[in-house]
Amino acid sequence: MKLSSNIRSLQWFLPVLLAILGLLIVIVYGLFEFLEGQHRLEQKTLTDIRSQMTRLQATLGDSLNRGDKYAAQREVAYQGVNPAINRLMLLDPQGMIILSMNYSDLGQQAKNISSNFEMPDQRIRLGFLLQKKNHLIQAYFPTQINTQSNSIRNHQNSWLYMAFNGTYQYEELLQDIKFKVLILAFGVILITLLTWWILKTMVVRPLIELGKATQKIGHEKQRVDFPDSWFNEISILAKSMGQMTDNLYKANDQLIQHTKKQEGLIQLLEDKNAELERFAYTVSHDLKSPLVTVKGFVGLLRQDIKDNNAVRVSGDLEQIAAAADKMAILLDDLLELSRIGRVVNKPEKILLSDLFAEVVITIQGQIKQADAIIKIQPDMPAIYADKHRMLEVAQNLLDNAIKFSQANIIPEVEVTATIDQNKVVCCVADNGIGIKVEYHNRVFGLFNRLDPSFEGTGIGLALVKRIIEVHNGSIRIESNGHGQGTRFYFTLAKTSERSL
Amino acid sequence: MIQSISGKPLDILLVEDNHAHAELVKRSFEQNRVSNRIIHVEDGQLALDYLLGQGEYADSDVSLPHIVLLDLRLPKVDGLEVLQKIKTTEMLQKIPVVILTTSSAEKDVAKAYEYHANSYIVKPMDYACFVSLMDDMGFYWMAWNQNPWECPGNILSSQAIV
Repeated sequence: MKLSSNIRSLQWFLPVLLAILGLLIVIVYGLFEFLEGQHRLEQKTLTDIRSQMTRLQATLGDSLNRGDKYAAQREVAYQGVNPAINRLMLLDPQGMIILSMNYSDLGQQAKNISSNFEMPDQRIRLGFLLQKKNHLIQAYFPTQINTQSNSIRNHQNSWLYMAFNGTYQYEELLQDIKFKVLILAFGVILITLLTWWILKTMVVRPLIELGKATQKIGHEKQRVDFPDSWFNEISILAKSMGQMTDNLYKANDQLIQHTKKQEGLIQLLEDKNAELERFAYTVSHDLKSPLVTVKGFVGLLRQDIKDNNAVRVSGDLEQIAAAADKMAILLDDLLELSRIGRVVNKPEKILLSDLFAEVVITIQGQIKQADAIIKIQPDMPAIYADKHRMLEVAQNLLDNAIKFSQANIIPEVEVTATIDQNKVVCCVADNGIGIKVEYHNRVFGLFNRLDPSFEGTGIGLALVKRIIEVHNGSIRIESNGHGQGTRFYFTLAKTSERSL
Repeated sequence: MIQSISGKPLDILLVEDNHAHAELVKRSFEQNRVSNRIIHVEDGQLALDYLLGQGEYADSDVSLPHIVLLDLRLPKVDGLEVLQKIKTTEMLQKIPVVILTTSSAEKDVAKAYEYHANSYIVKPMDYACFVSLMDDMGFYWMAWNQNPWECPGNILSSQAIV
């Protein structure tokens, strides 16, 4: 990560800012402490010196007053005044040394300095002067000495000079400040690190994870876990985001379901529309066809009557009659088809075994004529449907099974039923002529007849399909082709009030 | 009867599932100039079998028809499928196919031409119309129209109308 992006991160920005501010405060404090300490040091030094001088004055004064310079010197030597004092001198008002005492090498240095020293003005009220040169503090103290002594008669306004090393105290001060500043700086660094750690673990990490989790929402379907945090605000944010995500998923699922449902409905509508279109087309075509026949043969009839062709006249009349009959049947069929779904009888519980048994009795004549064998599974499950319509379904299926039989083979029809996931699947299987796979989708079409050599308008299976669909079921055909027999499977809901 | 130069009779293949309509077409031709042999098949599969010399017509030596009159709604194989098959089979694609149907649905007309039908005729209700239409259509396709497999030149002069 780049520094520029790092510094904009909360876990870096705040601690760095804190560190800078803290260190600034430490520096300011250090400076203040230094100046203040220096002042304090000066005051203390001043007091020290003053008391020392006063004491010295008293001691020296005694010897000097007696005029015993050496005694004074000796006294000063044994004074052991202050270990910091390097040199002690008694100067006359003109700056001439009356008495000098060296305590260390630094004392020599002090002497050199003092020789360049400009004597302080007598008028200085302070009566005390401090000069600092190379950590050497020099103090001048106006001294009153008894003028009775001859040798130092004129020395009444002399100066007591004292030089001592300020380095020790000064360094002590610096050491003290350094120590304090270091402690403070250490504290600042500690606080900074602590802040960094708290921000990192309790704020930034949860926030980053929150971001990651949010990113996931769009891609993953499952529940995203939002991180918890010690801080209330982040914790609340995470919780509400989790809630929001759940709601979002829920809403999305509902939307998807809704859309699916709608798509299904649209598909259904389109299917119905297409069916309607096909229906209109079929009807117009199939009704027009016998009309063409009728009008055509009426024309031919006129011709044949004119020609006196009696044979043809009767043939023409037959064609006209047949076309008219066909039209009547077509119209009846259409009416029947339109009734399904429009006229619904109350659904009732029907045992499939009973249903087919009833149909077998109805079409007894046909069965005998074809010499067909009908096997009906005795314990077939029950369905809940319009009985009248289901009889039509059963009859049409059995009719077809017998009608489309192969020559020289005894027709065998077997009706069975199974339960598959709350649905009843009923199968009507025959050993008839079968239907090629490519015609399978055409058998249920209105007025579609695969073989014109068989009787019928081609409405039977269209009717069956319509009835099954009105009952929310489905029907399909299975046949491996010519001579392989045919199996019709229709699926309806198991006995239930809700199925209709 | 219209014949080819080689003297071979020119057949008409009528694909029509409605017997009455087939009869009507045949009778209309009888009364008119076109008296060629009409081969009538009842469904799409038979039509293809006849044209391709397969199935029921596998062993019989049939010659290709001069034109095909094709109904659209047919059992087994639909008229449009028959048309598509004819027009995509190299051996058959040059045979003129006249759609003769009761349907005047736009969809059917469009589809028929899409599959390269040569003509689309809606069966007229009126008998007189029907007869005159059959005559005109038959004569046009059998006599006036020149088929690609025949010798160039004035067909009428080289063909005899019997």
